[in-house]
Amino acid sequence: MIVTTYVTSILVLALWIPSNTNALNSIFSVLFGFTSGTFVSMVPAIVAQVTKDVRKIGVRNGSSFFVINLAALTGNPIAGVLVDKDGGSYLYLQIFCGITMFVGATFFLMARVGPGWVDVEEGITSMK
Amino acid sequence: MALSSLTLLDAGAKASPALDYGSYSTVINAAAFLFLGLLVLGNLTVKSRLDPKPTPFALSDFIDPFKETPFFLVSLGSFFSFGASSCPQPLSSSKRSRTACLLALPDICLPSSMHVVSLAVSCPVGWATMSVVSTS
Repeated sequence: MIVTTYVTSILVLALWIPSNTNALNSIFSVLFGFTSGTFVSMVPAIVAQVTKDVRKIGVRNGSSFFVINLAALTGNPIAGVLVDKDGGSYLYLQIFCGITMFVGATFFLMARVGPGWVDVEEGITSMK
Repeated sequence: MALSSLTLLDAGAKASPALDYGSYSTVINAAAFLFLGLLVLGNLTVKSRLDPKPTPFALSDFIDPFKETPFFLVSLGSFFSFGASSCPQPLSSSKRSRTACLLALPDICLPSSMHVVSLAVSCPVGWATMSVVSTS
């Protein structure tokens, strides 16, 4: 999860920005879809992993998706405005996207190595 | 869902060269109504195998998880990652349709009433569903 999110941000910064042909853009799209699929699908699993009480998984996923909802709603318009500001070119958007993705990956890393992380086994044994 | 609708849109745009990008909002409306119709169908026909057990609604259930460091950091991380990942989604390989898609998006989304309404509707509905689904 942490690795693929970092790889996604590196892909955006290192492959998308210099790409100037349709072929390179297509390759980027394929790789981006491959790496971004991880965090799109794995966020509920990770929320479950940081949940000690199994019965609370549903409600905590709800809170988590509420936060994601705000980001997903604002992401597209921000992208459009950034392209407008750059006069129809994509550089600002690419920089914004890469850096935001990098920040997100860093937060995932902090959550993993920071205080309070519970492993699945530990959570299950504490339930018993 | 946003990705699939835009992929659909691009496929449609390439299939019929007569389609003018001025009708972008029409296509978005068509896709939205497609989703609406299918969701209505699904909501009416699908029945839960296990009866849902309604639990009392407490707002603190939704707020308390953010006081735990790992959950807060995971939420923050997914916020940024999703915000970034929804940026490249409107792009396709064709430059013309890319520009059309991206420039049309703020025009459709930003007149804000739609956004506010969808946010206001989707949040309580999502929370209520989650609180019903989560058995305690």
